[in-house]
Amino acid sequence: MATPAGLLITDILQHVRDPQGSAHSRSLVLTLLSHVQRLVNGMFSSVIVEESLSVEQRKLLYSIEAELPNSLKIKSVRHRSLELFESSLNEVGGFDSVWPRTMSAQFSAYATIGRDLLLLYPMLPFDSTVTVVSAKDTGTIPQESTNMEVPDHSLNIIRTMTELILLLRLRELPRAQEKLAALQKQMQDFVDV
Amino acid sequence: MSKTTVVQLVDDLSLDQNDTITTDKYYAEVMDELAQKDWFTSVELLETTKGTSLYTIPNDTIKMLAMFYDTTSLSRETPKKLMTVFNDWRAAKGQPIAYTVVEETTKQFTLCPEPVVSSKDFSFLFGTPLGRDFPAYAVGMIQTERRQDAQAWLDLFIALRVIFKEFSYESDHQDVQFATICGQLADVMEPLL
Repeated sequence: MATPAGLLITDILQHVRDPQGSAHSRSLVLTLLSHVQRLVNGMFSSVIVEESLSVEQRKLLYSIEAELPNSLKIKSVRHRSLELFESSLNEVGGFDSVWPRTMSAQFSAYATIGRDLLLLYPMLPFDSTVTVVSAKDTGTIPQESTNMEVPDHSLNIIRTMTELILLLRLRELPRAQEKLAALQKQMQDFVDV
Repeated sequence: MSKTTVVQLVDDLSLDQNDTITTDKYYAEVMDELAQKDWFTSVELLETTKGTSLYTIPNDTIKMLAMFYDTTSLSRETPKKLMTVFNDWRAAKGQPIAYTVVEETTKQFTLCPEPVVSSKDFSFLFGTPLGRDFPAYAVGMIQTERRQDAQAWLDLFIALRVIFKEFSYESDHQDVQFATICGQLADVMEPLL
């Protein structure tokens, strides 16, 4: 069931004993919810997105931020119907010392280099398209009536993390410490259905 | 702009108790630390000149992750290792197979052997320097680099790291317990990001 952000804000403010939003304005809490939802989805990938990436002939390296703007973290890459093997820069260099120029009619592997670069190996002699599956950047929540994008089973972590940050803000540190312990437990126990 | 958002978050979460100048300073420190962890990566193309083996590493480069010369991946070696292959490695000429940064002045590297051909023009007819326009005999460097801004979804995480630094150290607004919990929250997130 979709949960509007406003409902979550009301809940959170009650839990931090500020139901009127005197110490923490609702707009601040909405801003925090946006940030927390993005981080939580980056960590747990509950909401995914498929994007097409146009690949150019003889090109191996792509900027993730420029070419895949909705991607937080790449989960898999497909070329035609083939799921590419997930590798690393070191592994590719290890089995092919001329990897910068090796060419084939089909990609066989991909690697992410840091957060910014996607390597597709080996290069193609023609232009093509790959499908990239990623954790989705849920972006900014525009207003309280907007539904949270993550599924309901992820909302507990978002709620706890936001409450923790608000408690820190007002330096309610003993409660914040307890909330942090609760958050760690929730994150350890989290299983994405 | 990510830095603006991070600073705003630091202001909001610390109830404006932070100091603008130190927030700026710690922001730069946090970004450098994340670059050291290979978070911010890019590819740089460098022109090579016949008869020149010594080249300057770009200013914003923090770490060189991989380097390739034309079609070949270069291995990073120490001078001692190079001496096992070439009697006088600094005088060797030919297609580079390795590079070294040891014993060079800061921010320089040496190709070995010394290139006997200059790289082709850096004119990118198709606008694809890493694709079909890749200039032959150029050096491609995959690096981590100093950045002003990170991806927007990481703003809250970076803000927590900045708060940890700013409120840990001696100042008129030092609050070690507050800083510690903020740092612990960032620590809980980081392995999953």
